[in-house]
Amino acid sequence: MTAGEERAGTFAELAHVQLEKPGLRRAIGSAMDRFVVNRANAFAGADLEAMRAAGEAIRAHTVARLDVYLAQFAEAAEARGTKVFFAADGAEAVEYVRGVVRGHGATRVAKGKSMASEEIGLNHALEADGVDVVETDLGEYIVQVAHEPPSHIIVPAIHKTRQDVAELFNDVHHTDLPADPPELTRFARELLRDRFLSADVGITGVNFAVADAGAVVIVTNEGNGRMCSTLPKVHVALMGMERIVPSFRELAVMLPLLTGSATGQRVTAYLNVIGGPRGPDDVDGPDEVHVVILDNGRSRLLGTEYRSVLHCIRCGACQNVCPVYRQVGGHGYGAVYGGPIGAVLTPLLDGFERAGDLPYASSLCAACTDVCPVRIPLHEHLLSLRRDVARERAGAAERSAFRTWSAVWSRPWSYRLAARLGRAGQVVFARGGRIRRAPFPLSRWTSGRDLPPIASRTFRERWKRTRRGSRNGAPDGR
Amino acid sequence: MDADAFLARARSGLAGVAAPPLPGTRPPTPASGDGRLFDRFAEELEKAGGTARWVNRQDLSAEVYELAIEMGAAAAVVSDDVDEFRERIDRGLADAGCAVGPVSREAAAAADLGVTGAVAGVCSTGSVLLRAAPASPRIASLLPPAHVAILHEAVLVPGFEELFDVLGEQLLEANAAVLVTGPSRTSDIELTLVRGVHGPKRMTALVVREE
Amino acid sequence: MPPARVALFVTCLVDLLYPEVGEASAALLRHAGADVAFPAAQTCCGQPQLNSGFVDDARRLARGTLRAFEGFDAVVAPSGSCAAMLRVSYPHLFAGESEEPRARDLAGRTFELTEYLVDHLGVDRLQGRWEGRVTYHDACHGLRELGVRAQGRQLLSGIDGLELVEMARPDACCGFGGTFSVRLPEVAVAMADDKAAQIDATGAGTVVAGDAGCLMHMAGRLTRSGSDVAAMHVASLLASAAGLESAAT
Repeated sequence: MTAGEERAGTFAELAHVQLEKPGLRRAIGSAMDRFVVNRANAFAGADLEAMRAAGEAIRAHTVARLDVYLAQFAEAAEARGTKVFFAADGAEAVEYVRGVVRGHGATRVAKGKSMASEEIGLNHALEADGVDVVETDLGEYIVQVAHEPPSHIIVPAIHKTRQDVAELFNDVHHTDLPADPPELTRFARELLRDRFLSADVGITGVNFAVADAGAVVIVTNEGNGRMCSTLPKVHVALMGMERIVPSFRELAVMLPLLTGSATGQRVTAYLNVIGGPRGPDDVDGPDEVHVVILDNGRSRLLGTEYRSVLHCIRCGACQNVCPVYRQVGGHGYGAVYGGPIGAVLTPLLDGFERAGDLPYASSLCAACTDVCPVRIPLHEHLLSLRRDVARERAGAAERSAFRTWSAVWSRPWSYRLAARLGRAGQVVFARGGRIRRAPFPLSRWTSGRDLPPIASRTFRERWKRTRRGSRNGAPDGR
Repeated sequence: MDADAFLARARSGLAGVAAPPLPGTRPPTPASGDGRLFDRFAEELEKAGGTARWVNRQDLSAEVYELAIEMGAAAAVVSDDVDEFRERIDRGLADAGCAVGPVSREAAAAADLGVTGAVAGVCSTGSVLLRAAPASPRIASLLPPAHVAILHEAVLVPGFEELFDVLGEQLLEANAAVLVTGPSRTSDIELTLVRGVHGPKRMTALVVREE
Repeated sequence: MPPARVALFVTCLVDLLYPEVGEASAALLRHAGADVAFPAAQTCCGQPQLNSGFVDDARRLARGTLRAFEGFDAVVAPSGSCAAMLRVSYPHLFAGESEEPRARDLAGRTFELTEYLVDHLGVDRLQGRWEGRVTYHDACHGLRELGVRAQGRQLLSGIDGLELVEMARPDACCGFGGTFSVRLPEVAVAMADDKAAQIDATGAGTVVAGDAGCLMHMAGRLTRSGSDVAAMHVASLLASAAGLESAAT
């Protein structure tokens, strides 16, 4: 279950709201275009297909032996003094972290970016305990202050202009900052520096756990990952159970795939490798390191055709090319994970009752599959999910309509008859060669577009007429 | 959940699933070496917004002096892991009027400059690998607004393959490591690049060549 | 060498709404030397059903399609999505079923029109004339499932007087997506408006594509919003430029 909150609405409802926001589409669209260019530049001159094939093989191998690698990781990490906790679901993970925080009498938490923490509603739970939780990734800090969910995996505040951010900071902090990114960043740096230095507990996500070393790897550009995992006495790293590689060797391929796909970088400014708590003679570093490994519905996918969804390395490339995401942003999906990966993952983790509409929030254009660095066949999963959702939840009317449609159309004579009847019936609606208003369900088309009428002579009628008296071409004269 | 129960759940889900093999060879990536060493290192670090200088051992203190003057550094912290270069670094900083103290959180937070060693330099990306150890406090390269890493040219490696092949070993002697590439940065506001966020705003690598 | 026995898979949208596209397709194929037949037993490939998750219904229609196209060297459709349905989806649809071998066989001989003209009938250039600036929209399934991208452009580039310009994102989905266009009409229309803005920026008077679904959706939005831009199927434009008669010989 991805967080206790109900979805704010169906995709259709949320999309409607998003489509009416001025400037949103522009901001998202131009950011997406930039990401596409950055990604292309990042991989220019490289054999991207070979990298993707290797990435796919590494993820497929690892996920298919996930229990082995997780066991290896836990053993290696614990040998280094790291505490490893296996959380069956979000509630368990939250309870554990609350326990760690409470156990240390901690009142201030500094957080690095973690989609998994959003998934389990961790911030809200800690805040309800009276703990001050500050998001330290600049984009996450912005949406935290704005009380909004992140709208993109990599760039959470992609939907906000510099004016939006200046207004927001000035409003909340009673400042007079200009709408200038360097100035706004400088302000956030100073403010958050104090929070880093005074935090009792640092909580981060994990990009990759390394099984044989018992280490976790966190990549950032800002340095907040380092801050959160170095300054506070306690560091808690939260990871989805699938975010693991067998050894450091695989990172030589996986990291460039991740950073190239996410931000168009060869490498991020910081690649943090956390092997365990500080040693007795270390000047700094946390006294305690906890790694929380989250299931929360993932293991249920392992034995299914959807296993490859767990190969995802959360790069966000699929969002950057999705034409539907382009129109509605992350908020249109009403879930922690949006865009193509969200449309697949959310119904699988949360169930069809909550998220059965999401697999339909796609035109199946397959642009996502084309860019996925580990070749997850996202558009195929969307189609399979529709099959599963239809089986479980399709209404009687829809089911019967499609059944009738296929029955009528599967026989040439009834297909032809239906066409003739349609042609007769459309007379009411066709004006000047176009249909501007049609009855349900075609009214959903004509609310925004014209429809062509059924031709006065269909192709097969024309063909037959011009071939009258001769074979119509089939080998046996059919 | 109990570890065994958790893993058993995963195992049962994977019953009958054949794991494809890991790829035998790694394909080259943009982070692979291209045969060049310092030239590439400098090129990549510049692209990332940092600076690389190739320095003779005897010119090291002059180099440090110039950097400290340029930065207007009044206080610095220096990690013990610079060991063989320590004397020259201290001299350069002293000449620039920059006070050096032992590395503590307070000192690092107040310093203008942090000077550290590095256990490797990755040429394909312009990165330096720092290991967290008693002689290498993390905060020296994290808290001050400027970071200078001093490394021997012998520890330059061509690319990611070489880096990750030794990282496991490196980590046996440290509890943490960080691969630093240039100054800290963000593009979170309108995808506009801004340098100097939570980590240093300036990053320089001095690669000491053998005579 | 005897001409290839080609079955025209006209597709339901073309049959019912854009018959001239079917005639243009037949004419182009004949002009390129194919022996074109139209097996009348064909109806619909089953894409809308599959698209909505009703797999059994899709299979029902697909069985009819399997039967209709038996015995032809090639099955050619003026639609990337319908050709992809047969070539890519049918083998999955019938995986493990008795029809699987026939589905695989049909998949191996199904082509999109421009792909077949250029890659199989060897049409390098089509002699013809058509005055105007045109921009080309890459229909998603043809592009991503069949790899069709260059062929239509190649044929258009060879037409005298035709100026082909690329829009900013020709491979961005127009928003048709089959049943998507009716399930999520607001988003679909927003996507069509995005394409319309791109087309506008090129100054082209015509947008051309190889799929009737895309054209129906884009044209429907263009006319509703009062635009002068015309939407044409690549087959219609090419046949018209080449002065091909659609009457059968």
